[in-house]
Amino acid sequence: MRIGMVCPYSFDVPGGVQNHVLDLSRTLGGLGVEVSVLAPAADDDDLPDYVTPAGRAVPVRYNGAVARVSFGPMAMARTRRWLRDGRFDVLHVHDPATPSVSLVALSLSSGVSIATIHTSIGRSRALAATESLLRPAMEKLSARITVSREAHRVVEQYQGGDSVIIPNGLYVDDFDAVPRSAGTTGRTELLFLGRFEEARKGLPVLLGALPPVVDRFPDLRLVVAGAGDPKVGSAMVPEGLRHHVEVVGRVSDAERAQLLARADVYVAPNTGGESFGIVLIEAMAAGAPVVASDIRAFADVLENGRLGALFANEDPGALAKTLISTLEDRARQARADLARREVRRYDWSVVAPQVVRVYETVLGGGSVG
Amino acid sequence: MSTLEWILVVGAVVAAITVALSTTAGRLDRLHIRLATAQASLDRQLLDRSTCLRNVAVGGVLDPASALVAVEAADASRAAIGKSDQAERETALSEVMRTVFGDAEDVDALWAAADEPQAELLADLGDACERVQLAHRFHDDLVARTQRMRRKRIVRWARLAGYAPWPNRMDFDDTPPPHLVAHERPVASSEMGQQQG
Repeated sequence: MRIGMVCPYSFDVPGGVQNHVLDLSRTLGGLGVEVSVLAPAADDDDLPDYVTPAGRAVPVRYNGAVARVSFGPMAMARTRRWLRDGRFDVLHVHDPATPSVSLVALSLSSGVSIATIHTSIGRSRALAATESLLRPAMEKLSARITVSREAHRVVEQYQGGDSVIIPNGLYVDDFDAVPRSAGTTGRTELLFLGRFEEARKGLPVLLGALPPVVDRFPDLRLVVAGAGDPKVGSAMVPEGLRHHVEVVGRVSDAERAQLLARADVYVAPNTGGESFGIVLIEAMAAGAPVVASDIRAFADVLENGRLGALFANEDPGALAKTLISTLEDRARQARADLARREVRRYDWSVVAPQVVRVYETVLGGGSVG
Repeated sequence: MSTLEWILVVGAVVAAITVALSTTAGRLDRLHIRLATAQASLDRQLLDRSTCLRNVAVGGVLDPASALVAVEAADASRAAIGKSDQAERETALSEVMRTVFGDAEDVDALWAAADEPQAELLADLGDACERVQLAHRFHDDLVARTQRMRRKRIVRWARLAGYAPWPNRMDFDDTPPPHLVAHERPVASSEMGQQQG
């Protein structure tokens, strides 16, 4: 089976969709499925051999965030050639409503195509204005995969119809294999991961919640890690909290696993715009107790509080209370250990075969194909 | 000198200063008015450019992905008129346009593929891009002239500018895609006369 996979976002900035596409392609390769990936990239970028560059990525503001995407005549020509040379059984595009090569490939394709929808963005003014131009492309899709109940709901509401939910995958062992070392630093350690400069990642909410938590736990330390300028991150911290907060900036995957293994509590105060929350899965796989905002995507992953604590979104007071009660709760590690077992279902060994079954189904065949 | 002569000399000096002040104030005032007009004209041309781009995008000339980006950029630039991020948004719009239309060969192909109404939309956009460049140049020229006037000692000492804000250039990239502006014309010629009149 030959699959043409299209990632709309450039690999030069790491992101959930990009990681998903690379890991899925690699795992499918191991299952005997041939995958070729098309993505925005320049010819001289350092890319895996199964990735075809679709042309230099251009940063555009789209739906309130900056996305690095490819479009225009160059992207058209590259995509056309890739489709022609690839002769794919199935074209698998990601986030086709993003103005990039996914949409271009879909509009040029004449074969069987499916889409995975990651973003929970409903409808923008631009989408409404161009709906009649996009509809012919969208109508080509034989099946739609959504990565979460939240994404499923959005697709149902705004585009109509049903989609199959297959969660984002994770190499669970990458995180599970690191032994827990929480409590060994001699301090109470909270961890924040993500692009802290983006307000929707919720660092301001967390900083707003810290003072009462620091009063209760004077030895508290918050580690802030993620893409961004540590100087900018440090400047976001109020004077009184300076020696409780350490902004370390970007970390490698291995370092992230270490930080999670060390954290007493992982905090995800994201205020919205998340459709999945892979980082929550990572934290759970590492055995870190999770405190997260009660946005739908997170409430789904944490099973409404069974696998981690939830607080009222954008409410620093509620976050402070939840943090204090979680840090005082001696059973928090027991709940984290339960979560650690439950996240096995997000392992690529489980998720990738589900995707293969979708390919088989749209091709009308069974397991022999 | 007699008292009468003193009075005459002082009177002459006062009269000379008054004339100088009122002449300068008048010149400065006219510059400020022209600058305000140039600013309004630039805003109008920018608005027109984003509207024309939106028309081209929804007119089916572009591929869907390009259309989506173009509409988004056009809306963002329209919303930014008069705001602090205006220059940034207009630069972004110019960049998006150059990527959407590609190089000269791509634009030629687009002209060839367009039907008559679509070609009109493209021509409108080309004209709008050109007018943006002109309005931009006139605006920044008036800013430079006003700044020079306001740096003069007499203006500063007599505070002739009053509370008028210090004029600033609008720094944005207004370069249109190649071959979109229908006829490459030098900026001098008759067009300039019309704009200033």
